[in-house]
Amino acid sequence: MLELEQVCLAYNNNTVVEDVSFTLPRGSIGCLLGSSGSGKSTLLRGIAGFESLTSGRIVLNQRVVSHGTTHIAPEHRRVAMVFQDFALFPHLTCLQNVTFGLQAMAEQERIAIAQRQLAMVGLQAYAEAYPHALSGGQQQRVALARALATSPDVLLLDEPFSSLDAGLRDSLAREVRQLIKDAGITALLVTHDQQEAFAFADHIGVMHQGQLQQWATAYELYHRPATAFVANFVGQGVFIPGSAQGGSVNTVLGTFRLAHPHEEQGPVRVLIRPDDIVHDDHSPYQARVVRRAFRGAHIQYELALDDQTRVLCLAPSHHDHPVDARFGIRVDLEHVVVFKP
Amino acid sequence: MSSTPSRALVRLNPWRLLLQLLCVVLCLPFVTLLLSWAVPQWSLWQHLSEHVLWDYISTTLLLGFGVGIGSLTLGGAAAWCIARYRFVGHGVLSWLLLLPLAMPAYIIAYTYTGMLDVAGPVQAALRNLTGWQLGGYWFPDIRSLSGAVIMLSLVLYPYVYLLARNAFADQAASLAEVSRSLGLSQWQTFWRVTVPLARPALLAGTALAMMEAFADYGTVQYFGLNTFTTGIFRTWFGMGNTWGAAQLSSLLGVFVLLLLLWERHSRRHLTVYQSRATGRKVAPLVLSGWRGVGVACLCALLPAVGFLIPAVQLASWVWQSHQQWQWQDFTTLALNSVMLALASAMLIVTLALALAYGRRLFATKVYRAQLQLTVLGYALPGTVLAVGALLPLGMADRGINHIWRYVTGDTVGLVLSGTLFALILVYTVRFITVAFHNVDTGLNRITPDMDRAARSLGHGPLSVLRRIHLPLLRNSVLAALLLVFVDVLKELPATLILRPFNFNTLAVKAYELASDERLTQAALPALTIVLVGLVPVVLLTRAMKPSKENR
Repeated sequence: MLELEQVCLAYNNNTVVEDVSFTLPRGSIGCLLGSSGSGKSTLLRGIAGFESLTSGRIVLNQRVVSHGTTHIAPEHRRVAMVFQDFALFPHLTCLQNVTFGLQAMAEQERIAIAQRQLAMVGLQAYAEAYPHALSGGQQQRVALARALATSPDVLLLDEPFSSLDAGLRDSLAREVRQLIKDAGITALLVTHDQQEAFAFADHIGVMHQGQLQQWATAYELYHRPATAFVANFVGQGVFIPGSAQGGSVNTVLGTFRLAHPHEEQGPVRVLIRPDDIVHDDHSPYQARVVRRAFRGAHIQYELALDDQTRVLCLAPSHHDHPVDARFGIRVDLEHVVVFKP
Repeated sequence: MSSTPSRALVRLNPWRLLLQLLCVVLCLPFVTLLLSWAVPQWSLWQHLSEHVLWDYISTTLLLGFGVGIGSLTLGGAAAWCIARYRFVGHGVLSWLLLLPLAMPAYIIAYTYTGMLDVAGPVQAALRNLTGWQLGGYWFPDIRSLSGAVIMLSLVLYPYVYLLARNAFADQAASLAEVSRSLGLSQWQTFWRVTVPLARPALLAGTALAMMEAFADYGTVQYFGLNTFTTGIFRTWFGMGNTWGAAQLSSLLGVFVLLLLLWERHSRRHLTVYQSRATGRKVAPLVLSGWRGVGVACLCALLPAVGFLIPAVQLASWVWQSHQQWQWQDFTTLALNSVMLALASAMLIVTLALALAYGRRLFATKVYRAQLQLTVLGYALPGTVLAVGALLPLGMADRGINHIWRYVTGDTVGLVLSGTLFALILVYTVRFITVAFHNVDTGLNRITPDMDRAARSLGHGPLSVLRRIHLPLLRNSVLAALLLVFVDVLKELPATLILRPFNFNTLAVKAYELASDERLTQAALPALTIVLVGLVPVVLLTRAMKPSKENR
């Protein structure tokens, strides 16, 4: 189990990570999602012990590894890391790379474990090869085998798929997730790619300007974003103006019931996702097509309402309308999300 | 993003201060030269400008630009042939063309002088063949400005060749194809696409060759030419005007630094031009039959004239004179040289390692800037640096002796300027760049993530140093040691000025014997230098071979 309590990190007196707290249960996979400069990689290095905290506490399996003056050195944390550039040692073979973290064991045991790990990632045939002779995907798997061989308390992955081809990325991400789940290891991934985060993680934390905006499942991030930033950053959507009163909110699209009636009153912004607007030929309410993007199974329309408010609509592909055409829509808003203007 | 060290390290760190002090010391010679203008030498400059100054300037410029054009032509043409054609002996020639790098200019100069002399083998054969009488015919005099240009171009063209060959070979085929499809002929495409794309590389190589030409002392002195370097010697030793020599040196130094800026500028474009050249490379054209043989012969001409012929001549002189040689003297001489070069190399590489690690650990802006200045040293001619080092060291010696006499009533002599200290200081200033770049390249291969990976796999800092850094740095440290060793062994002008009394090296001895017209006796130390100089060239060719590792 990995617990962070109000963790702060700074470079040269500039705060890079501010007050981050979350708990990652044992055996689950977490993800820090954010654009570059959001502090997610710094936070990961803080957990690994390459940076000292300015304040806060990191607890790993009931063991405090960073707190105040306590700072356990990276080599004593039982934390393994997979790096963006893999950081394989070029002067060692794949097998030697994997045994590198097993120095406390007898040689035979070491080699046996390393061979098992290499077999697990499907590279037993490359044990004696040097890293430069492998493809990017293979190097990635050696790096993973090297990290898993030490059976760490937590596995940290820093943008592990970003240097690979797009085609390879998806299949490898699935494969790596399965390997980590099979090993029952707690893992934390850092990425800027939402799809990767959705596919990989059980819990996702969205980072922005050093702060953790929300720590939740993918479903909750999408349908119940905690901040306007998360709503904008995760998935697509637009905000339309509305006014909240009592337990409901009035908009140009109609009146909707609020999930938490007493939080907001007065003028608000209402989040409308593309899948909230349903194509409906029988609907009396029509909108004009401003822009369209064909996505195979779906077409994503940008629609102008009568008062020129723009919304997005995800319609099945056979509902084919040209730009400037009008068609009927219906609002199917299951989770009403509102923010202060 | 900066690397891991904690903030406490960045503040007042004694190691950083020590390294910064080292940088200051290494910049001292050139700073002294610039400051020398504070002691104006009106009468000297009046004398110089009336008599020799314009000769110095025009000869230096003619020599520099002549060598620039010569190296550009020879190196560029050779690079083009090797990069774009395949012919008989292509593989061997591609590295034979580098051999002249091993031949110091002053050695090739006096070898050819001996060969083309009135009494030399070439003119003797000519007289035998034609029946001409001594003095009854015209023969070009090699001891002239044009002779010096040819000699220097013959050994400096590899700088252009090395850079241009990659530039020609790495060009994307699509660029030339686009040009042809837009209606330009093959010839037009060559001048308007191929050459402009290779221009940064061609210019960078030319600038390097020109810098070496400006720094040359042995050749121009031997040929009796009035350049800045010979002028500095004359002003210092002939006229005894140290400040004047320093001022002349600073002029030459500033001039060379301008060239260096030009070279840096060209190189910046080089990376841009070459990194954009992705995709399919131009396929070399196979030349068969007499055309292949013809190109091979043309390419072979360069290493033959620039290396093989003079080397064979030196070897034959060594053979002729082997009985006159005092082998004991030669052993002392060789030992002196080797010990000096080895000690300097080890010191310089150690300092370079410290500087490079310093940058990795505490990369403050001031330290980075200092490092940039420090590694400019290799651009400065040995003559310039020697003068720049002697002035402050001489002053320091006078101060030391004053104090010493005051305390003990005795003098200690020139402990700094009259000993190997001064010589090694100048070697360090001049050659730390070579060492630094090699060590730094090695160190950069070890990414910060590798350190972190090793730490997170349970290895402490010392274990990381021993198991990751040492094995990965070993080759670059060895290469740096070797390169500096050979550079020190070949260095002539600074050694001439700064060597302690009665201390000779192979380079100095070869130069002195040749100056005394004892060419055959000069051949043994000269050949030794050439042979040792071959080692890094061979290393270079091995490093350039396209191996499976460079995927």
